[in-house]
Amino acid sequence: MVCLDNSEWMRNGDYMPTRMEAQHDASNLVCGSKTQQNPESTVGIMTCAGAGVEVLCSPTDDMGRILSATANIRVGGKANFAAGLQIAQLALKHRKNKNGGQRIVMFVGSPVEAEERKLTKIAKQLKKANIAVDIISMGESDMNESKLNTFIETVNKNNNSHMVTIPAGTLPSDVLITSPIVTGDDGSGGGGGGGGGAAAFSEYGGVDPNLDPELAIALRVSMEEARAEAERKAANDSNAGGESKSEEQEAAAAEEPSSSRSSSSRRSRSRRSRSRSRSRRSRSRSRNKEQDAEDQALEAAAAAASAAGIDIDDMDDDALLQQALMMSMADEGGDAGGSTGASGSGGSTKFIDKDFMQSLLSGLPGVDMNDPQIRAAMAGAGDEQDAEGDDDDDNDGEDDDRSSRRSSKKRSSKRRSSSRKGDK
Amino acid sequence: MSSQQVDLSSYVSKADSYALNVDSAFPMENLYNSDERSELRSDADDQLIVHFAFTEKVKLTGLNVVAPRNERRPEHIKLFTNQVSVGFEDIESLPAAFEMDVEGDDVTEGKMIPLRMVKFNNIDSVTLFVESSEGGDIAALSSVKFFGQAIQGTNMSELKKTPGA
Repeated sequence: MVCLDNSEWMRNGDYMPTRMEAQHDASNLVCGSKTQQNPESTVGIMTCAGAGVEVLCSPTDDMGRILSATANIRVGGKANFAAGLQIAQLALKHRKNKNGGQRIVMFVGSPVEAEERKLTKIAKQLKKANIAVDIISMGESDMNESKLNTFIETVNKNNNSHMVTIPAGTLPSDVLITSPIVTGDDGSGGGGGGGGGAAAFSEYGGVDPNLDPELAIALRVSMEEARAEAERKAANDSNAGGESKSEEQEAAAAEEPSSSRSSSSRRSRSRRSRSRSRSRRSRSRSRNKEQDAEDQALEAAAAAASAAGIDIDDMDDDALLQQALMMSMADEGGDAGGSTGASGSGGSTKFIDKDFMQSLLSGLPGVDMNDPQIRAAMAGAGDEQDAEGDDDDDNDGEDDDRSSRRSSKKRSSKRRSSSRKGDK
Repeated sequence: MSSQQVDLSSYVSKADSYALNVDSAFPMENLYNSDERSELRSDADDQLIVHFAFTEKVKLTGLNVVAPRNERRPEHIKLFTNQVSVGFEDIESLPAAFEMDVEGDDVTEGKMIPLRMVKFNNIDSVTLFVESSEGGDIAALSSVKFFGQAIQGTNMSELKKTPGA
């Protein structure tokens, strides 16, 4: 029985794209893997917020029904953790096929309001009724952690109940696919719904522990450490603003098990650039603008230059670019356009001299030196080359880090599929 | 049709029988072997539900429970008939077909606890509920046997060919 949290807390955007969507993704993974693990396994869907606890889909092995039930969930109200568990227990009791164990997979994304004593009582009831409980905690983990841990400890029987805390900024399904919730207690048959055989041995970084036990253990330890670190980082940064978010994403990117070297670097680059764009949005925006302006200006410059008697063929791209930039800036200067355009076209070398440019521009009527566009253009012309160089250096450094931390086997084809998922 | 009381163990369908609140180190299988020391034990507290399903409809006349004679001995037991899915949350509110306080001698090998036949006529499952144990947090059972008779359907081996037909 999969119990989803559809309280207002799930509107929170700390998981991509929202908690609710991330939860959908994760629950589909769980349902898929559970129904595939055994032909007799059935999965039901319920929600514990909204108007009240509601069973949307009684236990079934029909994935279509499960998916459509999940898709129709609306966010609203407060979640009632205790009532959710009890109704899940009832739903399990009246299942058709009495063979096989009973399990509740509970998503928690809002503060648990029930008292610890009440939870312990319910936990004992569930334990007596042979029901295992898995808890997937998404956000609000500080408040819930002690309660949920006590609950899981009480309900646990022969290690059949688990709790997984998803660090903010990661994809829940990425974390779950390696967790015992999806792989099952015996660690086999996992990931049926997710990546086919991709998740086999995923706990060990895709390496069959029977073939190379030491490597497998090392990979597993390193992945656990990475996840713990990401969790800690997420906790530390949760108070900070947007800057911390980008860091979390970087942490997530670093934590994600990498696939092939090329794809991992490509991915990290795109992630990096995404996170950078948040912190340096203004800069990258102006750069984009420049890019467009450059294209137009190049053509204009070509025309103007030929008019001014300059042989374009003699100039290399950079010189052309600078000239074009200068002309475009001069155009922005309003009525000064014509005259500076003519004088500027001859002085491409002087353009590099910032002081000269500044004095020139400030002397022009209608040109405001404080205009951000002009500033960006000034800064951009000189810095662009350097900035790009920096980016590349960063990425290389990161890749080296990765490669030293993870051995080459890590990038097996199995990983590749999980990375593809992550990119979606 | 025989009227004598027989041990109905062979009519118990093990696949359809189950126990709740069981310590997995002391599973239900321990009830079926003859060793008195192998026990079915409760886990979270001292309550136990053991559900026996029969392969055929039966009439019960007697019950034999063997349990350790220490603090794990069941103190109060109840029997319910024909309950399909019963759990701890609803078993207290169901009418019991039989209940008794267990004394020390009641849980020895060979001691027959008589059951009222009218209540155990034509049943296909029996649920044994151990409400509490003598003391401590664990209840245990070594063996549970039911006596009575199977309600025979048409016995094909008794059919005889009518001569000359």
